[in-house]
Amino acid sequence: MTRKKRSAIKPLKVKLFALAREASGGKREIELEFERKSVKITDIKERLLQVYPQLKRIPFVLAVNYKIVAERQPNDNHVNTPNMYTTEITAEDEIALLPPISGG
Amino acid sequence: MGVDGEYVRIMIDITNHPIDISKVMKECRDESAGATVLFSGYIRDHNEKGRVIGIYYEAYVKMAKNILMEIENEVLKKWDVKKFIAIHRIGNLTVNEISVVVGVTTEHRREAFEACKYTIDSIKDRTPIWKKELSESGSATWKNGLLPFHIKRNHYNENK
Repeated sequence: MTRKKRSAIKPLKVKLFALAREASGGKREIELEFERKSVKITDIKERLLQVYPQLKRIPFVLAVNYKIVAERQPNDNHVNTPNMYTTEITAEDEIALLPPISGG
Repeated sequence: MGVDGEYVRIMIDITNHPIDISKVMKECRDESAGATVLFSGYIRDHNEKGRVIGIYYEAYVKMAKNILMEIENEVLKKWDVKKFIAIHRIGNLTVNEISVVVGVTTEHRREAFEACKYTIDSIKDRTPIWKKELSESGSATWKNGLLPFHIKRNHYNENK
């Protein structure tokens, strides 16, 4: 009997930068697999901290398609940025983990 | 605002190549304008902890370019700007090299100073770029920074 793979969506790729990249093993991009169809940004964040507990020591924000995900209440939809709890993520979205910036 | 091809191409950039400041000044020239303010950021030879011999800059290039364009659009809305250039360097830089340059040309000096300051402050506030300082002793440390929350500066509007 072949075990049917239940992975509902393609693996999601997450880009890592600077301190956060080095703290999680140095890869510029990692893949996360989810067994369900509907993946929210909060699920990605939770998984990242699970797979890379080192990230708990580093402040970071996530960006989806080059837009910063603001931490806010689940029902707060008046800002035109991705919502942690309601925005659905697919393999076509570009997700990035951004530690504190220091350009200039 | 002059929008020939050359101008559009050079307006904003994230680059691996050394920044040619005289070229930037030249691109900033506009015969209808009396003021150009140019800000250039350099690698200095020390930080709070001691001597620095270089800085490695890393960027989330596509997003950084988007943010530079967003800042440019804000500047063009706020001030009557004739020329606008913002370029940030990435890669390994040594002391005295230019890491960032902002050039703004307006009719009079006040707007040019304001728009230039707004631009460099906004670059530091929200552009996804990171620096790692290399010390004389051989250690390399990512600089402590701020999370890139999307802060729009209203300071200048309030003052007007």
